[in-house]
Amino acid sequence: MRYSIIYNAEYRYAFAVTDQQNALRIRPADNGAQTLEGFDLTIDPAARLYRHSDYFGTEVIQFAISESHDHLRISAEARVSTEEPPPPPDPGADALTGKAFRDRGAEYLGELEPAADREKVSALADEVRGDRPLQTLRSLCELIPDRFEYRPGATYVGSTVDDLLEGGAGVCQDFVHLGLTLLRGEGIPARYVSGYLFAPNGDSADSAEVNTHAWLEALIPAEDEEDEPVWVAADPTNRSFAGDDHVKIGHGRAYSDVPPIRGVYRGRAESSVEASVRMTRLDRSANGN
Amino acid sequence: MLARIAHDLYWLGRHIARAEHTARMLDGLFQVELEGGADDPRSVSLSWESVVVVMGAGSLAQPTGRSLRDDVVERLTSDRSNAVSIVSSVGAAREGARRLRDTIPAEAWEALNTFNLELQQRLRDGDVGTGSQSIYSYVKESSALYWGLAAATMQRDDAHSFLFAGGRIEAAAMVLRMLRVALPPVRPTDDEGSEIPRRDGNALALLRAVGGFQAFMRSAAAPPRAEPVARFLLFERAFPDSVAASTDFLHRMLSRADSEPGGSTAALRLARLIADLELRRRSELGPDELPTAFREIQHELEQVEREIHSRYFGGDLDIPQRATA
Amino acid sequence: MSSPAPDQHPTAGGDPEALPYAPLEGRFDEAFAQSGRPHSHTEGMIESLNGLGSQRLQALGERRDTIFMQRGITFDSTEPDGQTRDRPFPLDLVPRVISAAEWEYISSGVQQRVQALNRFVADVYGDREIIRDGIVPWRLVATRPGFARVADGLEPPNGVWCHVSGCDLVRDNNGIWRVLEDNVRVPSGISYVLENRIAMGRIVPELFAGYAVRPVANYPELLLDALLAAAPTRVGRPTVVVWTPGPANSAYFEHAFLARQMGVELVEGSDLVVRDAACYMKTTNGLRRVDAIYRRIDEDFIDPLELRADSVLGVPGLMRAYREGNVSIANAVGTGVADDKAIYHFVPDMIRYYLNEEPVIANVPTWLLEDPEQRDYVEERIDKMVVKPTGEAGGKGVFIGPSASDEEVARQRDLIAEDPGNWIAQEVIWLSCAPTLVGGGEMAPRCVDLRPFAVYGDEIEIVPGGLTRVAMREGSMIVNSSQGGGSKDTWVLGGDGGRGRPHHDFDPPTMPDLPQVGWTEQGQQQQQGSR
Repeated sequence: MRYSIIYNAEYRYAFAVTDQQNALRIRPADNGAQTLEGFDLTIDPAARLYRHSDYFGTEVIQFAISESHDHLRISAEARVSTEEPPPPPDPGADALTGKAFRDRGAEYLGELEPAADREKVSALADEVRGDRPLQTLRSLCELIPDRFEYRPGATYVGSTVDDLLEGGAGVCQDFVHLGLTLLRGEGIPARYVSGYLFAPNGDSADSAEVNTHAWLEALIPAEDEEDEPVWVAADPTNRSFAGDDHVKIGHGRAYSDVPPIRGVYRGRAESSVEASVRMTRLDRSANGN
Repeated sequence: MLARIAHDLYWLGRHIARAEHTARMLDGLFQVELEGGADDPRSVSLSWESVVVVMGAGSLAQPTGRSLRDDVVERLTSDRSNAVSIVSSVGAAREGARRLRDTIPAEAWEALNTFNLELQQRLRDGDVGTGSQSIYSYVKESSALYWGLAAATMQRDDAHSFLFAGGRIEAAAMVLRMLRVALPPVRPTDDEGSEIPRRDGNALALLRAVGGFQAFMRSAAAPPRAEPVARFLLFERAFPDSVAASTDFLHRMLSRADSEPGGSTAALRLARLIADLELRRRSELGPDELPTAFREIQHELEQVEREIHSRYFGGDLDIPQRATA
Repeated sequence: MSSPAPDQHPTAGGDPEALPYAPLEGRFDEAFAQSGRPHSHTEGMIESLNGLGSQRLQALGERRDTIFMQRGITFDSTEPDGQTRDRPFPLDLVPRVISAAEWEYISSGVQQRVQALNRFVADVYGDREIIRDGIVPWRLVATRPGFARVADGLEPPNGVWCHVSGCDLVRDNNGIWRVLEDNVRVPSGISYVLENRIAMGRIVPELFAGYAVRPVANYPELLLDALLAAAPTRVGRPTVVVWTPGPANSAYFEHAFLARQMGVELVEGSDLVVRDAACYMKTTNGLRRVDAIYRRIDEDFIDPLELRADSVLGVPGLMRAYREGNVSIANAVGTGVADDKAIYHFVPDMIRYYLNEEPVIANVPTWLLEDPEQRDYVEERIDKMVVKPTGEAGGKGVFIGPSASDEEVARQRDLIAEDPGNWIAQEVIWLSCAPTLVGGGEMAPRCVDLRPFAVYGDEIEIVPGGLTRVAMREGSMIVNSSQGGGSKDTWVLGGDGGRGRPHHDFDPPTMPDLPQVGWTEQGQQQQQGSR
C-alpha cells in the first residue's frame, strides 16, 4: 500500500528556553520491504539538520536551536509504499538452540532493564509457550491484549514491565516490552519496532489520525538450516502479525533505542506538546503496485 | 579564562567585600548609638527600618519580645538563613574559594579558610564584643588580610582582574547603601533644625566606619558635615573606598580582562557611570538631592552588574566574529 | 618481627644496622633472592636503605605524609567505619627497581598489546574482520556493556582509539610476567607516578646514589603531543582541554595536575557547549573552539542526547560534533568494549591475528564461565581459583578460592549459577613481593603489581616504569588503592647497568665540544659480565 504520513509536533514552553538539541526518529525506513518515496522536514525556529543512520539502521535527524525561543514546531511529510510480508517460517523449538542462531540474535536476548518480576513473567510464559516458536509468538499476541487493558494514561514513557503487570493497563509501548520479555525468556530473540499503523477510525476509510505505534519483531529460524533466520513482525496490541498497514521507522532493543523524539534544552520551563500524525492511503486498489 | 571560573572569582570578591562592609556599617551604627544621648541635638536617630530595606535584611515583621535593632543585627551578622549576613557571605566566599583552589594562591585560601572557621566559632561563643574587640573588627581585619595576600601573591592576570572587580563593585554598592542609611531623605514634617545635626552625626559615623576620617580631614577643606562627607565618599578618587575610586578601578580591571573592551556594553555602561559621577561632582548637590543621587547611582551600578554577568559569565554567549585562538 | 642473628641474613653482611628482611618462601621477590642477598640491580639501593636505618625511615615516612596532605596528593578512602576520608596517597619509600633488560621486555610486550587492542577496537566498530573470521564471537562483543553503538562506523581522525592505556602486569612465583588486565577506558594513576618520583627525590635522595633512573617527568608532554596529533586538522594550533567530572571526583587531583602540566584548560561539562556540530568552551571572551578533549569521564555520561539521558555531566550534541569529525575525544568513545575481562581472554589471539606475532607477555589463563564446559572445569576446582565479575573494576566482587570459607564458596557457586555470563575465572597467581616498610620502621614482603602507562600519539610510547601498587595487608593480593593498597616509585634503570650518572629528571647542561655520556649497546654488554 502507499501512504502519505504527515507528522506534526508543537512544543510550547512556559518561558523561553535556549540551547535545545533534538534527535528525531520519525522517517519511515527504506529497507526493501518498504520503499520511501519522499520525505520533507521543516523546523520552526529554523535550524540546520544533521542526518545519520544509527547502529540499528534507523535514520536519525538532529538539530539544535541555540537562541532563546518559547515554541518548537516540527512538521514532516513522508510518502512510503509497503508490501504484505511473506508467510513466516515455522520451525520446531529445537531450531532455537543452534549456536549460529543464538550468536545472530545475541543482542536481542538480553533482559530488559529493570528486570521484571520473575514469578509473574514465568506464569505468563507458561501460558503462551507453544511447541513451535511461531506458536509462542501467536499466543503472546493474543494473550497480552486479552489480559491487559489498552488505556492511555495508565502508564508514562518511563514505565516498566512491572508497572504493566501490576496495573493491568498500558499502551502499545508497554505491551511490546512485555512481549519482548516473554519471547526472550523462551530463547526467541526479539526487538522493539517503532512506526506508524494505518488504523482508519470510522470517518474515512482512506485517512486516519494516528499516533506513533510500537510493535515487535521476533527472530524465527528458517525451516531449512542453510537459510537465514527471519525477523517476523507481530503486533501484540492488535493481536495479529504485522501487515502492510504497518509502516516501520526503525527498531532497537527497547523503546529507548528508537524514541521518535529525544531532546534536551537549557532552562527549567515546563513544556507542553501537541502531536498528531495523519496517515492517508494514496492508492485505492486492494494491493499496492 | 573559563566563564565559570571568572564568575566564581568575581563572586568570591563580592562576598568578602559584602561581609567586610556589612561589618563596617554595623560597627559604625553602634558607635553612633554609643555617642548619642537623648538630649544631644546631634544624637542620631537611626532608622533600623532603612537598614532592613537598604541592606536586604529580610522583612520588617519583627518577632515579639525583641527590638527591631537586635533583630536586624542578628539577621545581618549571624543568621545563616539570610544570604547577605556576614556569616553567610564569608561561608559563601570560602565555598567558592574551595572550588577555586587551583586558581587562588594557597596562602589566600588558608587565610580565608581560617577566617570562616574562626568566625563561626566566635559567633557560637556568643562573643560579639564591642569596639576593637568586636566581631566586626575581626571581620575587617580578616578581610584586609585576605585582600593583602591576594594582592601580594597573585599574578596580574584575568583571575586577578575578576577577583578584584568583584571586590570593588561590591564595595561601591555597599558604600552607596551605607550612604542611603546614614543620609535618608529629609522628611518634610521633621523639624529641619534638629535634623541637620543628626545628619551630620550620621555622616561622621559613616566616615569613621569606612576608615576614611583621616583621609577626609586631610583632603577636604570643610568640616565633616553631611554634604561634604557624602561628596567625599562619592567622588574623591584619592580615597580608595569612594564610589568614584571603586568604579575607576573596576573599569581598569574589566578593560584588562576583556579582549575587546570597546565592544563591551559592560565597559561602556561603566564608563558612562564614571562620566556621570564626574558631572555630578561638578554640580552643587543639596541635601534633598543627595538621596536621589544615591539611588540613581546605585541603579546605574546594578545595570553594570547585569552587563558584566551577560558579557563575561555566559549569560548570552555568541561565537565571536573576531578570530580566536 | 624479631631480629634474627646477623649471620642468618647475608644482606646484613654482619652489619647490625641493616633492616632485617626475609623474602617469602616460594614467592618471587623483586629485590632479594631466596638466599636473602639482594639482586644485583637492587644491591646499591638496599645498601643505601640500610644506611638510613629504621628510625630515620619512620621519620621520613611521616614527613612524606605531611607533604602529600599539604600538596593535596590524596585520594578518597573508605574507612572500616564506612566513612570516606581524604588520605595522603600512600607511597612506600622503598622503590621497586627494574633492570634495563627487563624493561625492554616489558615495554615491547605492552606496546604490542596496546597496538593489538587498538586494532581490535577499530575493527569492532569498522569491518569486524576478527569476528567474520571466527576468532572472537559476535555474541560476546554485542553483549559487552562497553560496546558503544553510537561509535559504530566512526573513525577517529588519526586512527587512534586508545590514546592512553594502562596494562596491569604481575609476576608469578617463577618470576614470569603476565598481563592481569587491560585498562583502556579512563586509566588513572599517572599523576601518582609523577608525584611519587618528585617526592622520593626530596625525601630519600640517598637511595638514588649511583643509579641512573630513567625519567618519567615527560609524560605530560607525551600526552599533549598525542592529543594534538589526535585533533582534527583546522587552521591554527588545536585547542586541547582536560574534561573532569569536577572536584567531587576521587581522581580530581590528577585531572587538575595534568591540565596544569600540559598548560591546557580544565573544563567541566557546563563549560562546554555544542553549536551546530562543533564544540566550544565558554570563556570570558566568548566561545572558543575546542578541538581535542582528554576525557576523564565515563563515556556513558558524555552526551545526554545520545547516551545516558540522566547525565548532568555531559554536553548535549557532543556525539554529533564527534561524528562530524569536528572534535576528537581521547580515549575514543567505544574503547570500553576492549576493557572487559571476557574480551581480555582473546587478546593473545588478537596479537596473532592483527600483528602476526606471538604475544611477548602472556595472559593469566582465563576461563569464561558462560561456556558450560569451562564452567564445569572451574566449578570442580573453584577453591583453587580466582573468580571475577566481568563488569566490575577496582577489585570489587573478586572471589579468591584459596582463602574463602565454605559459605563463601557456596555463595559464589550460587552467584555463578544466577548469571554465568557475568563471571570469569583465573588460576591464582602468587604475586611477586617487594620489601615494604610496614610500620615501626620494619621492612617486610608485600605483594605488588605494575601498571605501565602507554600513550599513543604518532607512535606508542611507554613511560619507564609506571605505577607499582602494593597490597599493604600481610598476605593480601588485592592492590587497588580503593581497597587499602599503597604504591611504590618504580625505577627503570638506564642501559649502562645503572651505574654512572646521578639521577635527574632533566637533561644535564653539556659543555660544548665534549661528547655526552650516552647509553650504548657496547657499554651494556661490557657491564653485564661484571654484575
